[in-house]
Amino acid sequence: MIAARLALAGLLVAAPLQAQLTRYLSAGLDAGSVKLQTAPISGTAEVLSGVVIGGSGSLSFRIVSLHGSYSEGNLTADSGNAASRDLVDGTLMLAIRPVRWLALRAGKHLRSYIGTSGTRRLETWEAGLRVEGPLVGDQVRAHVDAFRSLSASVNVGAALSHLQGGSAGVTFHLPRAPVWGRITYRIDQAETTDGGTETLDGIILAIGFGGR
Amino acid sequence: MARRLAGLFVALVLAGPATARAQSAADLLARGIRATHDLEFDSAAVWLRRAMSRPAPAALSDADRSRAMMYLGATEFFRDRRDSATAVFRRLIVADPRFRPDLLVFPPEVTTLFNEARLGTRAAAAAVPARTDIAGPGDRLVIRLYGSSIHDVTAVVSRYFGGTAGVAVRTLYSGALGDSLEVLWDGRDSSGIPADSGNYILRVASLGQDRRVVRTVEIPLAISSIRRDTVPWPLPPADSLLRPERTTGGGGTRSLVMGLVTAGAAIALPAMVAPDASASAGRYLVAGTATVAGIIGMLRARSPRPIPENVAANQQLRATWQRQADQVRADNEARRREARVTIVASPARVVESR
Repeated sequence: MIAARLALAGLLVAAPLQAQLTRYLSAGLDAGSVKLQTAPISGTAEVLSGVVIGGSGSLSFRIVSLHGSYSEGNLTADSGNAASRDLVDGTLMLAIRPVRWLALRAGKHLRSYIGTSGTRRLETWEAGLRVEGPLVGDQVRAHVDAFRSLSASVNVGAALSHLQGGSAGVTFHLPRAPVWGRITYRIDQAETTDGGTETLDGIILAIGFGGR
Repeated sequence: MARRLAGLFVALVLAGPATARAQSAADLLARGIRATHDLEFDSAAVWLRRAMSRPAPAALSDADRSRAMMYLGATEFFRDRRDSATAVFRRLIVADPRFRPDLLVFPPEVTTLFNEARLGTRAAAAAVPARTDIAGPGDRLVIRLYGSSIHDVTAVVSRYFGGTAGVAVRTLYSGALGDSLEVLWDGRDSSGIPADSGNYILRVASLGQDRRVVRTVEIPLAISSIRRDTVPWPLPPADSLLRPERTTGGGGTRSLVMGLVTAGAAIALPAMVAPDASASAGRYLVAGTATVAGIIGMLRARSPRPIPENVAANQQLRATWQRQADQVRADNEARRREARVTIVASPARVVESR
């Protein structure tokens, strides 16, 4: 009985609360297929791929917003005998949107490759920009973003010179509900001081709510 | 009887026409009454008829005229002219339905005959104040109806044009009238609107047993009605204030450009970021999605479609005007119902039906 009353009270409160929250909050679940290509100066090039899943969220207030994302998955060798490894990737970015179609962002990016021989962790401070625009009214919007590291470090191996990348994607909003879906192609490349590269790209599908 | 006639003749000869003309109607009435009391009924009848025939301004007052007719009826009764007495009484009742004989003056035979005549005569009288001002909700024209006997009457106010009654404005009463009745009129027509200025007539009709009008009392009414001015109707929103509710069908290039830019970025990003790497083919899926969406967006933008913000803004503008119009309508309705009505009544007259 008490549970039923609480549920009813929750329903009554949830609708207006949700209407308020979805203006400021956005959250989604991500899943995608990624490919990692390493090309060290000395050693064997590796190509690994796998599926990653994760989530993302943002908290917006007027022109300022805070974005966070997390994903993880297991990468296995496409060919050869490269050791499989787990990928863990997370970002925390602060963004300012001076105009509706442009956002400038900066923040921390952490990425780890966890293998049997140990964990290789990349840590960067990044800055980037994101351009957004409508494709079909306000229901379908496109975005393109680019970023580059301001500082980069790695815990093992050759020092990291920089990390740069970008993404392009399309977001679909339901007309009368704060629900959205997104398809994004993302690519970034880390370059070590000795000239080696490490490229991670893939296509990410996401579904979420809020942000309108 | 012969002696009485002779005496009357002598009196008339002695008095002479010139003397009679010099006497006032009141004197003639007094003589007639005195002659009646002296049982000189023939001479009394002459004096009384002469008193009643005096023209204005020497004519009898209404009360004296009623009194003279009562004495004349009694005189005729005592002269064994019962039909003539009844006719006189009927004339008296029609002229003054409220009149009742003094039981101390007239013997029961006379009063009985009077009452028989009264009960057989359907006559009504109406008394209206000479002037009535209706300024507030509680103000009314008070019409007092008096009946000679119980019978049905109708009291109707009509427009009065060129000496004839026109359209009925309001039926004030329709039903039985006993001794007396008070009817009120608020100066409005049957729909509640104050009567326009002009000439009206109040007609109180006495109905016979066959529901036909026997006789009518008519009271001319002069009405002056002062109404408040109505507020002008608000103008509807001008076209210049209304926003376009549909797109013109132009544009859409921005959607296409955005789609193509996104598609190009998805395809070109690997070359810009990692030229030496083999990029995933999934980027073509994103590029294709962005291109298709851009084309759809362009086509959609080029076909006219409603602009919800403008539609809502225009609806609000029209709703605001509608509220103002409704307010003005209600205000004007109230103003039309508010009026200061002055009713001036003229003396009543009795119209016998044929």
